[in-house]
Amino acid sequence: MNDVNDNRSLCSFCSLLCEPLDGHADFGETFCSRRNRELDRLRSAPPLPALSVSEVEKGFEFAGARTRWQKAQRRLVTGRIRSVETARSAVRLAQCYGATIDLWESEATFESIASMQRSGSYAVSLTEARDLSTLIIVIGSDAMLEDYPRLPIALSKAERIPVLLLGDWSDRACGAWVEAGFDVLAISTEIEHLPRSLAQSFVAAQSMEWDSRVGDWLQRSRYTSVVWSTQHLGFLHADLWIDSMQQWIATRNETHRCGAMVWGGLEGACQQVCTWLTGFPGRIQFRDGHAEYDPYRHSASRWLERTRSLGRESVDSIAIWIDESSDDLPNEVIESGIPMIVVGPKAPHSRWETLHWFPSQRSGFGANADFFRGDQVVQVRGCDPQGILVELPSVATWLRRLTAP
Amino acid sequence: MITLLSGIQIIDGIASSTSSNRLYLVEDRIAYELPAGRRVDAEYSLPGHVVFAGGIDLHTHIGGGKVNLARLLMAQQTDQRDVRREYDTKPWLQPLSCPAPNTWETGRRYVQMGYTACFEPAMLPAGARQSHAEMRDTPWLDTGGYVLLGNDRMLLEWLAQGVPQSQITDYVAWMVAAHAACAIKVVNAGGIDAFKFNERSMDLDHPHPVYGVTPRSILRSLSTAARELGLAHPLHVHCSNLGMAGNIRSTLATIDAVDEGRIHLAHAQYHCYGDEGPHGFSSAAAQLVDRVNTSDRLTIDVGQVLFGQTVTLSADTMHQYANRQHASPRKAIFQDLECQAGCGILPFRYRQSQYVHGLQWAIGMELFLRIEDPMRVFLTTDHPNGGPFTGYPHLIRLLMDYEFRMSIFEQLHPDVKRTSSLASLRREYSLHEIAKMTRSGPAAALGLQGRGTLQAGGLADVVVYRNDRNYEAMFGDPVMVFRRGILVYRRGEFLNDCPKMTIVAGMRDSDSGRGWHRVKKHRDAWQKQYGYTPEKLAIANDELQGEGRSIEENRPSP
Repeated sequence: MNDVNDNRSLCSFCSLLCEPLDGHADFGETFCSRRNRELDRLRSAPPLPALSVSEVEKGFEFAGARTRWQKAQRRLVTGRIRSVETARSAVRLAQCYGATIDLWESEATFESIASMQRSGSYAVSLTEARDLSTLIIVIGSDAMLEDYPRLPIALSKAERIPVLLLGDWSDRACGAWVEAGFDVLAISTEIEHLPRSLAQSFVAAQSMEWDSRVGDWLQRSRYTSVVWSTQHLGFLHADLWIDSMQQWIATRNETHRCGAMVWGGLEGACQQVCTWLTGFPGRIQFRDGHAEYDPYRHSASRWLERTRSLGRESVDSIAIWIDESSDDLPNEVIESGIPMIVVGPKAPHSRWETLHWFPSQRSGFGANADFFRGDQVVQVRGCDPQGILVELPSVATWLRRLTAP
Repeated sequence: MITLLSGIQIIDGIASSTSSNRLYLVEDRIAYELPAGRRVDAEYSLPGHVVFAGGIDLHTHIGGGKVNLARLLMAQQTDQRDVRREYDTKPWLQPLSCPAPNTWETGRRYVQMGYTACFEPAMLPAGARQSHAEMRDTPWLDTGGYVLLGNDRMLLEWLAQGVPQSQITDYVAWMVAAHAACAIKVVNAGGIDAFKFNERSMDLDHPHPVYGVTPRSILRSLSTAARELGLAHPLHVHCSNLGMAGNIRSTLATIDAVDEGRIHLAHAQYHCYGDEGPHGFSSAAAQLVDRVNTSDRLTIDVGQVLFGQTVTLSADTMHQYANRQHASPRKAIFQDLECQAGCGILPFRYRQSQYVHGLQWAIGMELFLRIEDPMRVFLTTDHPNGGPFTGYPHLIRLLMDYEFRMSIFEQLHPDVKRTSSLASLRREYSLHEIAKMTRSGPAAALGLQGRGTLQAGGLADVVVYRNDRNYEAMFGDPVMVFRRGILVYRRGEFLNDCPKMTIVAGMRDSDSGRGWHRVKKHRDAWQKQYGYTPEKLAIANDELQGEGRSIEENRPSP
């Protein structure tokens, strides 16, 4: 049927479709700054030996860890899940054992979801924004570009269109947008008050506080894409801010066209998979095979808090930390001291008596894995041709073995 | 493994005169004779029961980005008012947890009605991998999807440039094969893209504001491509002017616009409205019925409205946006997607007391009852748009039981009762006709081999129902369901898993299409349009295999 296996790849470090550039042998010239940074971190970690499933099971006391998992009274599945396959296995594991499941640091994701579930949204995907926009408004700060360095290039087409940078952008960050071919205007502003300021500019075509070009651009733009990353907004109750922004976008759509491109990281895969398998985006506690969704009660950090408060009884609890990132275990997790199984390519820096670690391949390196682009519109198969290859079982393999009776 | 079902009444849409009361399931095939030298491994004596082939739903939104958004939008929105105590004894019959249920519940509830194959009718090309992934996680069902074309900017640009039809046909071949589709879907040809340029309506001969092409020219070119490629299923079309009063004119014109008149009209109920009567909104079902009854190249699925809470989702952003004020609860999601299409998602409650909703219900009924050949009108609610698929047993009862139908009709808005001719339509569907519209008809329309029929050699997807005059109870609660000869479901209990198929398009000679992505000018055009290479989103065979899944090609048309 299909003969399309050649030349498929995806950067498994960020949520963009970054194609490796041809003709560059050196990573430093080929890839973006984030990729280089994370590759350096991976290289600096102690090298892992090539091990089969049975070798790891024997050497890392898998049977003991599985027994502890099976006998526990309270279970949590959490971590940094990035790929579709791992997310599927994680949900199945949680369902099978009546566990709570939530991504680590999923607050930004759930603020976006809360706003959408309350009042809906108007969105535009990356490729559409790139092709159609006559004005792009980017709300955020340099941190956004540190995480997604190629975002300006990904949004850039041949034509020179205006980009309005709102928030807190350095000259260097502005330069990245200029280099990508945009006509840039940066305005330092309090992000929290933006929805009102934008509304004023649009109505008056000119604002007392802003450059007159803003109103002019807004009036003339046929299609406006508004870009932000919820995790980079940096204030509490971002869902209410999103409500206001979406209200501005909805009003604008009465006469013009406009959409929000809400950019996230690779964690979108877990949200998507959870939703199609259970009907809920995460923060679920399974009971008798049924999913109980409570975005406040069933967050991973609240589970840890509650478990710590149990004191000695917390020995009947256990968490699985699934890691498909290059980051270390968070301090909050380490300090909890809760019995834990860590599945991932990186050995935990801290050790405690009830910690089990099962080394695994990094998803998307050597073996195929599916990821979601940052706008969660496109699911792409990633297989990094220049990753650091280690012959180890995949994360999903470990989760399936834990699920098996 | 050989299973014998005896004492049964066989209901088949093709071999309607079958007199046998015994059916053998020999491995994964149907037989009427015990193969020589073999013995029966399991026998079920089932007097008072009828046996059908597994049901086929050729238009149900079960997988993809917009379905997942609908799940998200409707999480915790289940209306428990409909849950009655009677479900305590048969919990599998209770309402869905959500009008757009999760994949597990979708597979389970379809099998619990006797359906074994379902087709997602609107796969955004860029979202096809997700659609297939969701369908992979939908248990027990064979699945397939139709790739969404007709608003993809590359196509619009080429049509504007007047490129040769052969170039369009090769491109279509690539899009169908690369996204593992089994047919082509067109939604509001050109209109979704026009909405992105702030056009708020688009009729069949209305030029696109940028490319200048008309929906008519898009439909013509794509239907020609479908014919040239020999796709078994004709162009699957969601017409312009969805849900608009007077849209029957553009619907009939759409039928005339396609190549050789070969077309499948999706959720036709939403496309046959007149603009007469006291509310400026009337039934034009009779006009569409005339066309269906006089052309053997035209098939429809109805998209029947069922009263209650649901969620509507469509790639037709233009018309979903126009309906946003009708959302209930008042919230909506709209997306402009990938230079290919869009989506609009609105929660919706169909009310018996509301004139338009009541008339939509009556129009759907009219289509079912006036179209003579049930091999060309298929039972759908356009799940979840007209209502969740779990309403099918209720819908079948409406078609088979005049008194029951009238009991609902009597509750509608007085103006619906005054203007609709439904009361005069006394037709009651037979079991054989139900088999045609839910089994053999969709199988024939999709070019599925050995499905939808109980003829010898056919696939042993077999459903046993207790013969009951209450057809809603009967079709909502099968006694047994076999998948490929394996008993997977019996009286509310799932017993076994089963192998699953992904159905993709068999095409006549399409070598040039399969290699389309390697032609430099095409690669360059794609890269310029999308910002990445064409292979990025193409689905390889191995992605559709494993975990008990395999690939089946439907039959190219001669």
